[in-house]
Amino acid sequence: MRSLAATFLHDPERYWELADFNGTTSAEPGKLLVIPLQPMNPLGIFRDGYQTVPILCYHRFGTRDGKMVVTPDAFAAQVEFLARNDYRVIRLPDLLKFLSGERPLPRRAVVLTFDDGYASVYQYAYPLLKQHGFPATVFLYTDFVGAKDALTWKQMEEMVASGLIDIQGHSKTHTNLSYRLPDEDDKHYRARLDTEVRVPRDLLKSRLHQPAYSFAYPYGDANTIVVERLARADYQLGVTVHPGANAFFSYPLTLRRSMIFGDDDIDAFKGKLQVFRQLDLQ
Amino acid sequence: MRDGRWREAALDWELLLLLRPDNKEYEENLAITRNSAHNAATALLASAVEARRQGDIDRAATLYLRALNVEPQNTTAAQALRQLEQERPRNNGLLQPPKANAPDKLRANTSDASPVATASTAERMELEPGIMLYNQGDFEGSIQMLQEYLQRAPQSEQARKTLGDAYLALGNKRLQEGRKEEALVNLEKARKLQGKRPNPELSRAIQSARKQLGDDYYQQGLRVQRTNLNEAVRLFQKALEYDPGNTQVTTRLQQTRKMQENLDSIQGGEDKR
Repeated sequence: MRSLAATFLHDPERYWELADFNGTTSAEPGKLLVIPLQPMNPLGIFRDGYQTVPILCYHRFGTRDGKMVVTPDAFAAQVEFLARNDYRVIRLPDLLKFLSGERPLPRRAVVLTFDDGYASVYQYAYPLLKQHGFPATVFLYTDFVGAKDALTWKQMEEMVASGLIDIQGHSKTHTNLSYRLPDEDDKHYRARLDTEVRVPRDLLKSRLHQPAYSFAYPYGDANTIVVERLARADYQLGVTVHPGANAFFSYPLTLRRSMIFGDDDIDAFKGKLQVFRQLDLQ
Repeated sequence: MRDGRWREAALDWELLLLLRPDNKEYEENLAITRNSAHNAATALLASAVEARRQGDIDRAATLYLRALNVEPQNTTAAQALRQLEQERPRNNGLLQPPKANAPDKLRANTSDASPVATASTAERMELEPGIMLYNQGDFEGSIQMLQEYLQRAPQSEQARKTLGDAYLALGNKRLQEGRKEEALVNLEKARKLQGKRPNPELSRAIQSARKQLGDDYYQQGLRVQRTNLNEAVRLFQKALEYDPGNTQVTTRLQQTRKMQENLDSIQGGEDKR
C-alpha cells in the first residue's frame, strides 16, 4: 500500500487512505483496488456521526507521586495501547490541514503533546516515541530553560533532528495570561501578552529553527484578548485544556485537549481517546 | 439511492463508470444521483439557516452535518459549522474577558532574566494541578488539590482565588443537577473565600438557591400536612432555615402547630376517658 500511495498520492505515508477506502490493509492480486486521487471525505463525516481528534496533554514523567507525573510504565502501556489498537498518532500540522478541509485524517487519529519542557520527556517519553515512530509536540515555556528539571537546548536539538518532535511555544513566563495584573490597563496588558507570545516564537526560531505555528495557553486558559494577540502574531493553532476532542469545525485557536494524569489507569486513558462522535446524520 | 444514501450511490456509479466508461446508463445515474444529493443538501442548508435564525444552534449544526454527509464537498455547510463553533466558546464560557487581579506571586516578569521565573517555578509546579483541573472542569479534583496546597502555602492568593472559583463552578453545576443543598454549601464556601470583594452575582446565586430550597421544603410540608402534622412542622421549620423572611411559610407553620396542639389536646382528652 505504501508504494501505491507513493506512486499515486506522492506520499507513502498516505497509505492509510487506500487502506481505509478499500477496507483492506494490503493489495491482493486479482482483486479490484480503488485509489482515490482526491479525498472523498476530507472532513470525516459519516452517516452515523463524525470524526473527532483527541489531543492528549502530558507534563512530566517520573516515579514520584503527583497528579501531573506519569510513570514511565504507565506511559509505555499507553503508547503500546495506541499501537496495538490501530490508533494513528499524527502531527499538529496534519491536524491543521484537517481543520481547514485540505486533507483527511486516518480514523482514530490522535495527537500527543507535552507541556512546559520537562527533561523527563527526553529521558522517558522520547525513547518510547522513537520506538513506535510516534510524532509529538513539546510546548516549551522559554523561561523554564536552564532550570534543573528543564530540557536543555541540546536535548531539544536532538529531538527536533530526529524528525519526530516539534517544539512550540507555551509563553515566556507561564503566567496565566487570562488575568490582568493589579492596576494593569488595556495597553500594558496587551503589550505583556505580545511579549509572552513573541519571545518563545523568536527564541524557538533562532535556537531550533522551528517555525512557530501553535501555542499552548498556560494553565490551558485563554480569553478573547489572548486569542486575538495570538492571531495577530500569525499563530494558527492554540490549545487549551478544556477536555474533549476536535472535529473539523473546531476553532483552531481554542482546541480542546485532554490531560493525562498520573493516577489515570488504562481505562481512564481509553476514555480520553474520543475519535468519533455518534450522531444520526441520515 | 432509495434510502437517501446518495453519497454511497454516487460513488458506486462513479466506480462503475470508471470500469465501463461507455455505459450511458451509468453516466445518467451518476448525474441523477449527484443532482439529488445536491438538492437534498440545499434543502438541509435552508433548514439549518432557519434553525440558526431561531437561535437553535445545536439543530443548525446537526443539519449542516447532515448536508455534509450527503455532499462532503459542500463548502457552505463546512464554513457555516466553523462559524458556529467560533461563536460557541464565547457562549460556553471557554473565552471570557480578562480577569482582574492576578496575585503578586505570579506577576509576569517581562525581562529576560530567569531567576524570578525559577523562583516561581516551584510554586507553579505545586499550584498547576489544581488550576489545570479547574480548567478541565474537574472542580472536585481541583478543590482537593488546592485545599492540600493551601495547607502548605496558606498565603497563596492564586490558590485561594482559584479555590473560590472552583467552589462557585461546582455550586453552579450542582444547581443544574438539581442538588440544591450541595450547591448552596459550595456557593457559600465560594463566598467565604471572596473575603472583602464580594461578587454580587454570587450573592444573588446564594439567595436564589436559599429561596428555592425554602420553597422545596415548603411544598413538601404542604403535601404531608394532611397525614402527618409533626413532619409538616419539621419541613416548614426547615423551609424557614433557608428562607427566614418567608411570611407564607411562617403563617403556615403557626397554623400547623396550632392544629397539632388541638389534635394533641383532643387525643389527651380521649385518653383520660
